Amino acid sequence: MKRLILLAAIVILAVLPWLANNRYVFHIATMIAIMAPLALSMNLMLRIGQLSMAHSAFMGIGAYASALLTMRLGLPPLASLLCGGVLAALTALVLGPVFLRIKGVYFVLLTYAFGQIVNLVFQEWTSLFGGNSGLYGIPKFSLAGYRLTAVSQYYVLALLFTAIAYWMVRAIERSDIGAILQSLNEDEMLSRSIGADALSWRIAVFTFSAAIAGISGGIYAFYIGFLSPQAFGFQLSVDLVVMNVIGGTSAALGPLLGAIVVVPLPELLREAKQYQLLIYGLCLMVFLIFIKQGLVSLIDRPRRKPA
Amino acid sequence: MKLKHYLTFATAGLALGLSALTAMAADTIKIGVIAPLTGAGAPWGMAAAEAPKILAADINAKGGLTVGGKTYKVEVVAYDDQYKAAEAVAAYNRLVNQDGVKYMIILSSAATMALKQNVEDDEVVAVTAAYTAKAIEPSTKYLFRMYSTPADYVPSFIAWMKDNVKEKRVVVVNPNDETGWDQTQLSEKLFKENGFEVLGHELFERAQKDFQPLLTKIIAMKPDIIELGGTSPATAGLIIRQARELGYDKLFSKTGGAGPAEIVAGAGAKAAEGVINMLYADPANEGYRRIAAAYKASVGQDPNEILVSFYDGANVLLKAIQKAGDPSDTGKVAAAFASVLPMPSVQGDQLSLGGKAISGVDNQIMTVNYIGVIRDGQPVVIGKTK
Repeated sequence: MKRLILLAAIVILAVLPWLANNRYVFHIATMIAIMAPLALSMNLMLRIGQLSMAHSAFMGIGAYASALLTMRLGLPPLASLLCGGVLAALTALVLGPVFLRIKGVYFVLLTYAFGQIVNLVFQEWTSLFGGNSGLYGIPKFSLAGYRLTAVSQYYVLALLFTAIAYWMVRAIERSDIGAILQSLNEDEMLSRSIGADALSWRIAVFTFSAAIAGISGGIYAFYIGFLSPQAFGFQLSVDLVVMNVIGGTSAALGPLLGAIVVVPLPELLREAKQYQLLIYGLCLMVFLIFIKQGLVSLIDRPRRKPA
Repeated sequence: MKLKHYLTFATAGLALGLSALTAMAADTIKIGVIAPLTGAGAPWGMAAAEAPKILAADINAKGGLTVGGKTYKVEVVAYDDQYKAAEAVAAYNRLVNQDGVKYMIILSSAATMALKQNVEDDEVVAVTAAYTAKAIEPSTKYLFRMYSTPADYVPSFIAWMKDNVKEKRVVVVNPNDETGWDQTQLSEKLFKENGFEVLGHELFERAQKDFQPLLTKIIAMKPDIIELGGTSPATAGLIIRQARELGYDKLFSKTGGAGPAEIVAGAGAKAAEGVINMLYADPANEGYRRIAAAYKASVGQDPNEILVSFYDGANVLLKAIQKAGDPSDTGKVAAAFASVLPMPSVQGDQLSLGGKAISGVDNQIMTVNYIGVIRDGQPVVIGKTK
């Protein structure tokens, strides 16, 4: 019942921009809808016990690939968007067999280093990526000749992808795959002893989550119309972790709630001007101290106690 | 119970957000500022936010800005973009759609590039501090650059050095990025054209702090000028200090990125003695001292000298609004830039309209920059760029 009420509340929140009919509200809603799938992709990694700092880089790969494929090769934006996701996924697929043999803090450092390398490539390869001056002139997204120009249209696009990403992560969560992933996190040795190929499952999750991040990056590129390496730095990966921690990592709903709270929070505090970041930090601390298991824990109670 | 609390919190948050929806106040002209008010870019961002506030306070103290026979109060609304394009878009949407802003000052290149199409589509008149040549194109109508770029003032800076500096053997040092590459190419070409011997150039990563290996190599070339170009002032201070420690006792010049206070802070007054540096402001100028004092009274710190450029940019904007005679007609205001310029800057120099040679359109306020030398830890103006 609680879950239904919450889903109803999320649906009401989703239609709120049309009720407010204000471009600023639409922009915040669009940014939530772009960040939510990213938070979901990070959630998948956290479920297998791997804290990835590479997801900002995957978003960047998707963003730059989508923009450049449209700008330089003239691919239709939808094809570019999907190719961006595929390219991010392929990168993860190639790196996964090496990266995912390592766990814990070493994995964090490895993915952090990868993120930095990708960011440096965006900065230094100016003829392709535009360097620190950025890549501009990205055409608007279009589908079957219909060009998306209004922020409300990008909101619909981002919302649609959020719904798809949520549905897929939820489906994984409820399926046997979800149980396997949980077992990999909780007791890998036991899981392997009953036949689960731990590394292959980890690579699959890494690849799938990178694809989600890449497509989100593509939507971001077409929406903002300008890319600079700074948008895909270390801070973004930290933000994704924060969304998961505040929303809760135990269910797909958690990162969704985390994005809904964390993304607009700086905007709600904008009036505070120079104290904006200070109050933002304090708000996050309050969440972390008083709702340790995340917002989703207020709804989800443990269904059964272990025997 | 907890769910109830959660919903209460969510509703309160929404109410807080919606309560910010305000209509544009009637007899007020609002100037929006999008700049990094926090983080490493804050000294520039605070200058961007405070300069129009100082100007607005002056105007409001005299009763307001008279436009078309009606008097308006001038209000400045400044938002932090943290140097991020997405934050700048959020700030822009808030300024335009909630705060009712039609006039804007934008600081960073990233924000400008992300917003330039919005500015044209929404017919918002914006003044930008972005150096990038790509910000303004022949089709640009509503976006104006607030000062001269290195391409405008470096030629006359180096020509001044030809006439006033006896040293001729130069090594150019710049950050290893697009800005640094462009600055290196430009200054090498100009030094050669002006009869200097360019011994070579060196590039470094912006995060670098230890320059001893690089400086050892440079000093071995026996230069008598090390040109620091677009190196950030704080890093320039570090390079100067480390070079002095290695025994380099010749000249340093810095044709880009003003910031003598940061250079002295990094190098120490003794090591920084004699450094030739581009300046936005003449520290001894009465007009600059007045606005710098107002800044210090408001913020509690000395300003970055770029304050003067933002003050002049805001002043030109308000004069254009006055000239247009109707604050609601931004098309008229954009066109009025051509008729209010030339006009005097706060320092008494002439501001003019130009930029066509680089951007294909006259949407740039051409400013006079100063050539300063550091003496006893203080910048002293010894020349002007054209």
